[in-house]
Amino acid sequence: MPLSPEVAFEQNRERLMSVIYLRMGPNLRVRMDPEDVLQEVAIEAFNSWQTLTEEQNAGAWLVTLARRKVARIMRDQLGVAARDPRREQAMKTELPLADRRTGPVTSADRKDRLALLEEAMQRLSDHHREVIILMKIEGLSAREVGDKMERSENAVHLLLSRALKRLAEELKL
Amino acid sequence: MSEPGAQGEHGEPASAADRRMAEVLRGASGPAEVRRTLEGEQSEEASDVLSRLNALDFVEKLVGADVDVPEHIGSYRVKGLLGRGGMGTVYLCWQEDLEREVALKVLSRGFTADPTMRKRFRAEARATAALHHRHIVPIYDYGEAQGMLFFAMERVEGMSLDKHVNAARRVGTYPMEPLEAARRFAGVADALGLAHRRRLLHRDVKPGNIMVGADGTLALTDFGLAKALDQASAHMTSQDGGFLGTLHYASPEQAMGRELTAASDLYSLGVTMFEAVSGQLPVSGASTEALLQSVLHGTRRRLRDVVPKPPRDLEAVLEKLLSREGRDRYQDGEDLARDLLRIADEEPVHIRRIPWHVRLWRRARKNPVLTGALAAVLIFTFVTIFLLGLWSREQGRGRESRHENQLVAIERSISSERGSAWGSKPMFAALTGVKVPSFEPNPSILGVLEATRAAMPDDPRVPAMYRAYVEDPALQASRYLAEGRGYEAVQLYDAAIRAAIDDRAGSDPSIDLSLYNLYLGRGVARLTASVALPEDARTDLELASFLRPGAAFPNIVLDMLDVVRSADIRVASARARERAQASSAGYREALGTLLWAAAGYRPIELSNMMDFRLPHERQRVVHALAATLLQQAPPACALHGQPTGFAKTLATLCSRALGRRADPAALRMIDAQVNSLVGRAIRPGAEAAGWGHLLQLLTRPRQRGPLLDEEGQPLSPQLQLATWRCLLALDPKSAVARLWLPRFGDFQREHPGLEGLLEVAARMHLVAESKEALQWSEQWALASSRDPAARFCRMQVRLREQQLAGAQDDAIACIQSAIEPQRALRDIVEWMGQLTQVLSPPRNEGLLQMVESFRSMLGKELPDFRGGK
Repeated sequence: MPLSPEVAFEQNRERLMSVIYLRMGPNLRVRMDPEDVLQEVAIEAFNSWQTLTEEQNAGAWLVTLARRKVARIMRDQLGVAARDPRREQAMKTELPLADRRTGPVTSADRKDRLALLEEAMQRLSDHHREVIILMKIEGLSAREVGDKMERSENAVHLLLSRALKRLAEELKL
Repeated sequence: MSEPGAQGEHGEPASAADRRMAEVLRGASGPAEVRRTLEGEQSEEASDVLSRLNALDFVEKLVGADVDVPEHIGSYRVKGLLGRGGMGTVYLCWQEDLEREVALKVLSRGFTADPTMRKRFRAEARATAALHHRHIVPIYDYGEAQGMLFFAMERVEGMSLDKHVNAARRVGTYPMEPLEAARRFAGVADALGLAHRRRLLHRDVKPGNIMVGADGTLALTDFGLAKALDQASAHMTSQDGGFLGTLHYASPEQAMGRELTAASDLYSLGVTMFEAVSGQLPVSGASTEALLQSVLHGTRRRLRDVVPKPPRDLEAVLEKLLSREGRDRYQDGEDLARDLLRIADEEPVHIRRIPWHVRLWRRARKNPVLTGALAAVLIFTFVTIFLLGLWSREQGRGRESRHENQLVAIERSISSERGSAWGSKPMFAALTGVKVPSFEPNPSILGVLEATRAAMPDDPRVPAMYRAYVEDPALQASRYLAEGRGYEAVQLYDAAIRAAIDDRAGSDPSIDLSLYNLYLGRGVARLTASVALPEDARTDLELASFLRPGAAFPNIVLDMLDVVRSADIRVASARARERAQASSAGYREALGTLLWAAAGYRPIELSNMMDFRLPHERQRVVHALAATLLQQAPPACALHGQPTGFAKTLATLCSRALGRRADPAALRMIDAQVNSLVGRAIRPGAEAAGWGHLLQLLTRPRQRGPLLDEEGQPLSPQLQLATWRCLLALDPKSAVARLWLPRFGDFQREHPGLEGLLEVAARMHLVAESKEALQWSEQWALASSRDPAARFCRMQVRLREQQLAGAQDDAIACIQSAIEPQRALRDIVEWMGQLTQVLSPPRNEGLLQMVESFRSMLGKELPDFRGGK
């Protein structure tokens, strides 16, 4: 049986939520609930599932969808909002969607942990933050991260190792 | 020391801990193994690496370990995912041997490992399976496969009560009428009673474990699981240090971890019922700790604090259920059920409450500070009651309650009035293009409203209800909707919904009625081609249906969506047919017409429904269902794929641009017109937005590379394809179409697997009369051999290439598989006729003969081609 978009989405739900949450940042989250963005990514994934060529890339593909979605919202919201008040109002009136799936405790818990991570990461340097997000949240390989950050694979691992040290300090782990 | 300015830079020397952790990250050594070896060591390096491992763990936990979703579990084929909770995952499965849908609950692997747990779980599953009750979701099967412990339950169509409550909360209304809740919960109470007699506790009664069936019946699920999983959850509590599960519904003894009794289940049922009636919980707390405190020691909200004028008896029953001491509650689910039924029938209930002085004494003993406060409250209450009595006597209590009843009766009759099968005025027409008689307010309802207003002229709710019933709450939005400008309509509806929710004070029937219209309008607008967000539309329609349960229109549109978007279209269409046949003729006609439009056969050219892009096989099923429901062939159709409704306006503009490509001033003007229309009325990213990008093709036909958006970024492949499709809809001449071929070729190479590309490619090359036309039409016909459109296209190409025999095969196959064979035949004859005129006499002889043989079949009963040509 081929992989269905529902299943792929479920498998990556938490990762996608983390990507959306962290990429949105506090300013954008005031305007739009990350859960709603996640829903939109799900809808987009279901609608364009056919464009996915290799099933094993589903995770990376979904992460790309999520990143693009956030980028688009950022453009629409932060760029357009000032020009067109009607549009902003339309966004505010958007009601959260029904299916939250997880119970209140787990969802709140995950949000807490995300908020904790975000707060800690704000005190990290840009490089450290980026390498953690790219490799551990978005799930890119060391080679891909290396290409983006113009480093060798070895250097990426070392950088991540140091970033985790700083993160552990900030999280008091 | 480890924080130099150049942290993480290439040149910085790596410490031993840096290198060791990097090795773990590279995958050279496993984290668990490294952790084990380091935990013994006392060095600084070890603690450094351990803290990094913890940080890694923290991040990795956040993104979630991958969930394995198996294809098969035992003899069940997994079809989808219904939900995921703390204990396991619920899949929608197909039981292959019995050919039925079931809900399969698979326990998390963590729970499956422990042998004593397994034994207990099996015992509980057996006991539950022996419970036959209308209000308990039955367990069909229990087993183990691939190391997973699972059981199969009946698949209940409907939603869980928590979703129902959330939906109500979002529209700011009460989830259930108190009396209705009493009747529905009586069944659940009775079910609990049966289980308790069999010495089985549920232990996790909460809205998430109660299913609301399509007819509103409640049924308990996950019976007895909590007990089986008790050990495991106790273990998890100690590990994470927090209470696992839903504390809101836990009885005080459960929150304390003491032994549970039947009364504990009834307490949880009480909380659930309280929430179902009021939308709120009797206890709340900002944190787990605060919540625990208020479960154990705090005061509960009373029903009258959150619901205006609740039935007194129901309030008493809930108070009794929510008693802190188990012995003060109901002891038996059957007693509770009996009382609830009496409440539902508005008969008096004699609840043996604890005498008030005993309660006071108990409370005073626990909290002496409260005693004084209680006394004050008591005096205050007496005074208030006295004053209220005076007031109500003056107002004429009888008259007031009659008035209230009257309002409720009006609301009911509005909710279930006939004629609702077509929705409000512009809605049906916006989707299907079929004009229906405009909605006329029912004179008898108007009469009752008038009489009610005369009887109680001061009540502002009566004129508000009148307005909500007669007037469109968002007139401009409806106008946009009628024109097919869905995106503009959606934005206006958004604002109106927000305003209506803000205006609501308590439960206001007039606002419910306006909200119904607004959600319905937004739902329909989201189904137009300009917006095309069917899942969002579904949410809106469900909310509308929730607000006016008697109204047919939202359900009809939902039925249509269920059919066209279902995973198994045959099952869905059979279900829809059954439901339609049990409904009115108006229901059937409306559903049939909607389905007909959804299948791509637009009854008239004004339809604005989004294109669901159904594959041919699905189209056939939808079409067959529409034909059964309508009982006669629907009226003449716009050809499949041609722009209709609002898109037609755009197509007209664009084809004017195509004709005046040499006139830059005219092009600029048309470009501005199209862009302003698309920008306002079409959601960015919707397929119809393709029209907005078409002008860049028309103005710069020789440009290469992908189509770009305003900021110079490439459009999504789907949107690019949609733009090419729009170009084809203009039916350009071959010499003109050839200009775009190189750029289209770039696009094809860039996105080879794109869905729908074959069709566009074949038609593009056909129109441009390119050499590749044969190759692409072959590919399309191969990929969808039963699609008459693909065969028709290949026939056209083959005729042009003089491959007469092959073309004839295609023509026959096209007629055979066409939904409307006569229409396909007519199209074929017409196309062949045109071609005979293009070709010079010696070359068109064979073709002439073929045209004649096909023409002779026009209007006659078509022969069965399957016997041979």
